Amino acid sequence: MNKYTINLLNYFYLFTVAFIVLLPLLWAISTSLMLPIDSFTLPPKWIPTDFVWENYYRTLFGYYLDKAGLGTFGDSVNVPFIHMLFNSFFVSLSITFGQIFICSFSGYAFARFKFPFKNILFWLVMASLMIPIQVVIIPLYVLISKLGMHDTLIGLIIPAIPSAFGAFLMRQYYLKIPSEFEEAAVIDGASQWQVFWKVYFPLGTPGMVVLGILCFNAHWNEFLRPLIFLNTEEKWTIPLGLVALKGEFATGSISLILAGIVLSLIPAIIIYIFGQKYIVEGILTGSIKG
Amino acid sequence: MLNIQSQKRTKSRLGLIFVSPLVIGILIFVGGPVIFSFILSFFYWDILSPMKWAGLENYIWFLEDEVAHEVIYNSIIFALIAIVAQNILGFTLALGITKIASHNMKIFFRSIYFFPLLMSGATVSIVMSFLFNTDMGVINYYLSTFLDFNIGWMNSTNIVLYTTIIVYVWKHFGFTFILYVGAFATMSKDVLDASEIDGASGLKKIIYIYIPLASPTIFFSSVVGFISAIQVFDEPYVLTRGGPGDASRTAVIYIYELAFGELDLGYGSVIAVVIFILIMIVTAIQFIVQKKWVHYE
Repeated sequence: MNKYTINLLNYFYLFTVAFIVLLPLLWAISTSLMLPIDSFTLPPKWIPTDFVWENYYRTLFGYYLDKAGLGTFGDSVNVPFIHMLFNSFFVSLSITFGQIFICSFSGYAFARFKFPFKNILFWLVMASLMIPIQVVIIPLYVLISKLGMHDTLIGLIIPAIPSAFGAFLMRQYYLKIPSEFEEAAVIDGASQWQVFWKVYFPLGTPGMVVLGILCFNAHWNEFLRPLIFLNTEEKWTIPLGLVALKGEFATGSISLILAGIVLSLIPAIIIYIFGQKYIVEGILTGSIKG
Repeated sequence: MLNIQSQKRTKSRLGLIFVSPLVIGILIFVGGPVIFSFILSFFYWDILSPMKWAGLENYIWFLEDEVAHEVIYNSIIFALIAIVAQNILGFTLALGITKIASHNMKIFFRSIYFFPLLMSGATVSIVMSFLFNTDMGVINYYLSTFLDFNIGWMNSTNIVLYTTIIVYVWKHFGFTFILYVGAFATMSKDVLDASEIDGASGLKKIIYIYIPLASPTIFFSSVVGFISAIQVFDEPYVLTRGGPGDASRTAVIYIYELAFGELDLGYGSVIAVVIFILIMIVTAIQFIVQKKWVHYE
């Protein structure tokens, strides 16, 4: 095979995979804009030709209009989508800010302080990375219930804040910042607390952005914990509500479900446009052995 | 001098204060639950009435329970195929984009491969469940050009597990892809140039240069890939709820059903302990074997 053929085959391979990734997304968007009766029409339409924006309206507000006895949305959408949006934002943002704080403090200490048991504690934190949440989900549920946090958003938020991965990530960032800043600040009379809070904490911003994006995205998409911890539908997060919606009409008006899915992708698309390089950086930093 | 001493003391105190929220949190929400999982596996408990000592009964039932064997088997097959597929895709695609000249095309492909990573496994699976529908799905519609029967992607016991793997790999391969892009970007130019001069080409270069140089990444993504794939839940649960029969039921689906459906928390914990031990064993093996084939520069 000459270079030209290899190059051509390479492009063919790359494009094929790209299509396999793109087609389901295109289909979802296009179908979310079709009349619900047409949503299983074959051959499928990849490019939207109908623009039934009403689907989006029904997915977002159907539940509320129905409850208020307004409109004929009847059996269309039985999940409180606005609640779900709010809950997902509230949970993801709270965990993200919590992690940024806790992980900045601990990451800084692991990177720059000498203190008793440091190595043991660091090893302990790293070992916890090996333990999948799924495996401890039963005791975690029991704990949350005993603390009276079952069926609350707080019960979803608090256990997710102490993140071993986040601490490791922040440590890697603080290791990269030169120690000369500390010396300069100490000569100017800064206390150790001020050295951290006024100098290093702000310098850790790039790491926080990476951690924040990864964390927000992970919890925006989270499914198992909300499924187990939350009962009341007003407390559901988006993936939970969408799966429930799908369960209600497996082959029915799927364009409404797809409208919900497309709506749920908006934060991902925003992160994708503005934060792609941070995620790549985060994954690569996380994979470097400490 | 005194100043330096007191600085050191402050640092050591602040250090402990700074890490304590994290460490205490991890002890409460990870460490404690791990220990409690082990304890719980020796009890009968339905969360409502008091715990009752079961001795080894739960474990004995595990040895007899055929569903448990099937879900563990499913999870292992799932994890093995998924990590092999992810690594092959990640490796070849990353290699592919390093070989193309146009910078814009590189970014184009990279951005596309990356996107599913940002989606939720649950919502991806909803979309895929429509596409893989036997009678009305888009995939069988196009396959009907070549086949005169419909493939039961989600209702054939022989196929359904592979369907869930396809969906899982579709969603996750971007992760390994990024790891390999990172690995190839940091590979020493000297080695690659030298191999060029030596006239090594094509397949030989991949086997003797790229794979050894990327071996730390292959190792890392296999360890991480195994830990996350063995505990898969979202994709098979949303696609089929583990069915038909138990054909796509994974260990974590079974844990979920036992503990939160049947309220058999003790036996559910046995499955969790088994998966936990499995992860430990496989990771330990990977770490031992890596010495033979992973080359750190």
